[in-house]
Amino acid sequence: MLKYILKRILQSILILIGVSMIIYFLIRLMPVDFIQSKIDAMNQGGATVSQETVDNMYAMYGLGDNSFGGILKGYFSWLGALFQFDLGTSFVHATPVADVIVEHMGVSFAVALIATIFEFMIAIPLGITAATHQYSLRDYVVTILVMVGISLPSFFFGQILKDLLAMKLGWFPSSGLIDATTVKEGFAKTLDQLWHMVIPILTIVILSIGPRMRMTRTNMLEVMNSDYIRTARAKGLKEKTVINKHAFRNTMIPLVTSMAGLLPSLFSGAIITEQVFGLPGIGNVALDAMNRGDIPFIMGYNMFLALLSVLGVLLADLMYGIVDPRVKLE
Amino acid sequence: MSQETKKTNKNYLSGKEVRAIAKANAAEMKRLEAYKNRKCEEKEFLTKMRDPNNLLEIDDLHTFFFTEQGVVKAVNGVSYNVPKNAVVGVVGESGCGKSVTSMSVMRLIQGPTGQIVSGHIRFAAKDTAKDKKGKVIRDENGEPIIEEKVYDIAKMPMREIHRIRGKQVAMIFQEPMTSLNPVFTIGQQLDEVTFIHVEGATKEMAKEKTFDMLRLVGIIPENVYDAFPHELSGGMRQRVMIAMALAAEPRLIIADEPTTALDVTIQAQILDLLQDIKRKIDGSILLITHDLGVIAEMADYVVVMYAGKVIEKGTVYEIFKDPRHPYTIGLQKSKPTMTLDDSVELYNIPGNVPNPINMPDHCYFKERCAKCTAKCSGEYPGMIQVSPTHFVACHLYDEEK
Repeated sequence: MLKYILKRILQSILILIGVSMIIYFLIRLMPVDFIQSKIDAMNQGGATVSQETVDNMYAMYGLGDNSFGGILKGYFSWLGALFQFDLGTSFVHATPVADVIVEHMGVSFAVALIATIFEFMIAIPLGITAATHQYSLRDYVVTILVMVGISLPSFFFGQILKDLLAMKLGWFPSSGLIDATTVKEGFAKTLDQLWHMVIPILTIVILSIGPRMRMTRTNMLEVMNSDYIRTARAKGLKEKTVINKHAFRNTMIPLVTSMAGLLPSLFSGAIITEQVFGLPGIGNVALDAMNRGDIPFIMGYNMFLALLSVLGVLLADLMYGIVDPRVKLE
Repeated sequence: MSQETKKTNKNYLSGKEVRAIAKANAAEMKRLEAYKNRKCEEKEFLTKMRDPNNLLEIDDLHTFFFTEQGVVKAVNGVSYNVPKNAVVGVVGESGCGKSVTSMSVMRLIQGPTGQIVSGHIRFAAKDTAKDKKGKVIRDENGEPIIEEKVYDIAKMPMREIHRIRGKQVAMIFQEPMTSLNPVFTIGQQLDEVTFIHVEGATKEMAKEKTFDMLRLVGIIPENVYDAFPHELSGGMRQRVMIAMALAAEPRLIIADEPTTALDVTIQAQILDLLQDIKRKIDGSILLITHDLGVIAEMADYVVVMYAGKVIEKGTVYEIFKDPRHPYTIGLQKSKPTMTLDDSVELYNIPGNVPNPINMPDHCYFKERCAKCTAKCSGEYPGMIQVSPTHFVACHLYDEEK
């Protein structure tokens, strides 16, 4: 087991290096130029920037040479710094990338964690009940609502919820994370922040229930039609036990696969939803960094997610070994 | 599809027809599901046996599947009896309704599409007497009182069906490879049976019972108790399934093609085991198979089914020595025999089983029958008694009546 995990971790490191190389090259080839926009801003401010200053700035940020060799050199200096646990300094924020990530992670993580818990708590029972009452009114209602949920884009549905719950009814604040009109400290502050997260969480939960519920329903249906469920019924077990014991354990097996994607999604931030509600989460910051060509931040953010993805897959594989006795990890 | 082919293709349904079928099916399924899930008093499904020597009486059973193409009458008026302490073999080709009949006895027909539409399944259950609160009634010595009750299984609501399953009727399935739950150990799955059916069963009791059962089917218990199903071979899994069926000491064991999925040597072992168990248990076996050899070896009585109906039934001697229905005769002839003469070709019954939707009014075997007469185009033949135990549904024997 330990040997298997070690082997997988070593493989993961190789994968991550490959991923980082691809991302770095892609970013360097992006038509966004942080320096150019900075100089444009200076020019607009009335200052005349000499060509020498421009060249110096490019050299300072390490973006002077855009040939293949130059990009390669830039990559290796980034990689070298990484091995000393240094993700570099964000162009936009002028602080270390790690600090920027940590600073904005909390909000995104809180939103994602709460949303995910609700998503699982609602979607899995719904999927099971839809499957065990196939072709009934309950099944049709659940399936139709879920289809509606899947079809709604988050920027549209988020706006509707905002309009209804914040503007018309005035129950929740419409955007941001902090109520700027009063000063709150300690617990009251946390409560206020959570209050601001209600509509974004609601949006994410309603939109994400669909796929998870559909998956649970399909798995459950497949399991409920299998021979061993017939055997369990023939033994004289009550239908409830058949579903909750014999069927549920088997439904969990494919659900584990989706756990692989869960880990990165908890930390990646909901880019569009955060944008709609003006939340200072990591997704919002990442989008901004993308638009402005903040190379160190994009690298740091993407590598962080890549690491979590690789860990998520490893975790899912280990979970398989626990949930399904037929899987042997060697 | 062009207009021409639409007309010639008998299976083609227009949109209007499809909608009409769906509407009729939905209404019928809703009614039957409601009947299945109803709450009712026990007396509503208590009944009396026609013959007290019988353990199971299937009487004019109709089990239908409501599909999008129409109603499939998988079991269409089947009647046969299983006497106490006897082995009854049911033969017939694939899709003739023999498995669906047995599933109906266990009420394992998958709803809402599959439903028992009408008929009776009378079963003489023997169980500990219980008062209205569900507490076991005991005599002066503290021993539970055993009483015999006759249930009409076809009328039982689903919430009461646990009275039958496992404890009264157990089933050995066709597919040992997939019939065990892959995520639980053999021990867990066998212990469960004791936990369900023995009140106040402890872990030790269940394990002891499991060990006994495994020994009975010729497995060393220590080797498999903690094993998962995927670690066993097909033959071993079928033995486990048999042990599971025996664990609650049922009065009737339904063996639904228990050897079909196994290779020949294992088949022989499993049949030996069933023979052995037949002697050891106090109960009956309903053996479903399409293998006439197995029937000849095991059964006391034989029921021959064709396209959802019983066409001939009698003792094993009568069916093998004096088969009457042309289909039974054909089945006997299509058994391979060992001869040195290569020129003798194996006989086969021409044609196929008719489409189960829109069955004709006449004898279903008419198109394939060599002895067909003018009368065969008339209505479906009734059951004709040939001897006290031998019945056949064929117009050829109408005069004898």
